[in-house]
Amino acid sequence: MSTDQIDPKACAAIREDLSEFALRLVSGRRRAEMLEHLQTCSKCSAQLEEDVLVADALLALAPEIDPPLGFESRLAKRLGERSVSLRRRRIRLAAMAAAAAVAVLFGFGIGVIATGHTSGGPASQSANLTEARLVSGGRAIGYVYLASGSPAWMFMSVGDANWSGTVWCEVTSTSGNVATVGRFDLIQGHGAWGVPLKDSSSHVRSASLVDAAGVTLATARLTS
Amino acid sequence: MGRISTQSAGEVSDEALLGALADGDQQAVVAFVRRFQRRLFGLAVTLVGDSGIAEDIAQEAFLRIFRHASIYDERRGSVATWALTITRNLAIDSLRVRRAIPIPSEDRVFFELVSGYRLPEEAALVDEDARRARAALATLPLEQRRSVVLATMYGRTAAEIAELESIPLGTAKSRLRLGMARLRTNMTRLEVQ
Ligand SMILES: [Zn+2]
Repeated sequence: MSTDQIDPKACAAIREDLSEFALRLVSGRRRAEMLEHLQTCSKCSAQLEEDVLVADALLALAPEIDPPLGFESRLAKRLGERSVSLRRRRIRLAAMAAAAAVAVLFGFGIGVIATGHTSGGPASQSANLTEARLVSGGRAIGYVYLASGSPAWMFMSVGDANWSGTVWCEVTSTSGNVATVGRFDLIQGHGAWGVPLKDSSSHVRSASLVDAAGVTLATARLTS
Repeated sequence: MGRISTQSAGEVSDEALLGALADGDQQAVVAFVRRFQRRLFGLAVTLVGDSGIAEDIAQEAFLRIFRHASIYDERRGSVATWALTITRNLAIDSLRVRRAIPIPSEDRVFFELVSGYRLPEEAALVDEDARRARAALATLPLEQRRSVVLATMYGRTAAEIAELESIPLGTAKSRLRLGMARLRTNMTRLEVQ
């Protein structure tokens, strides 16, 4: 759809919330609606870009405050933990194989293989799968799998949630952009789904489940 | 739009430091943390109002900056802006999860920004970009200025501002929208000068 086909009333409604959107203050269903409009409306997108620049420029006003004593050493410790996790990669390979098996089990396998073939070569080698635990309140309630390719696909399986009903999935890119990639239903705490991602999978930082009120229910960190 | 710079004369630039960091230079990591920790922590604590949570956010921001140092795109803004944006996004996400909102009216930063009165000890720290942002904010009517500051610096939604200030939601939305639009014009003008 081109910009001139868009109803001016729709644009006016979007503009109402655009500053908040630029500040990441819009979530859930409304964010999804706005994203849908922004994808097709170049005028509103240009306006958003300007709002983001203003918001970023205002960050210069942030006060400089000394962090608590020991900040640097605690950060150094966390950095150390990160290099340890790199050494664990071998063990993670086994987990990834298990994840691939789960993906096939859920009926996602066809998607992975099909996208893998677009870049040539055997699917089993080109389908690079990343797996992450979906955590809610410190508890793992499912898994997120990211299969690289063009387009990349994301799969989510929730097996043990304390809530049911409609949830939205938000994907945060490494540059901090949030996109709502889909919505699905959990029945008695269970659900599984897959969706193609518009952006490359290598740019995905995390995936979250958000409820209609915009509350984040669970998050999976997909670090590359 | 103005670029936020944090280095003093004679020091290596923020961009060069980030470049060294991307190459795995351990000394650059230490130098980067020392250069930015007060700003990242300052922003985080302003947004979340809790020192412990703010430390966690500032540390997570550093980890992300280190991890993604090689993909920083200078066309999108200065290193400081990028670092602060990462911190703000993490802080706002944590606000959304916690749902608890610190009261800003007692906050000196908030007081300073909405009143335009600059507290003496802070004055020396204000850099060129902060001065420009402050000047642009000062041109807004007080209600718009407060809404913009609440939303940008404290992560408040229009609905939260409406509740906080006991004003209709439509009023909160239009104040924010008009304030942002005016800032856009003013910042572009100040940039040209
Ligand atoms: Zn539009």
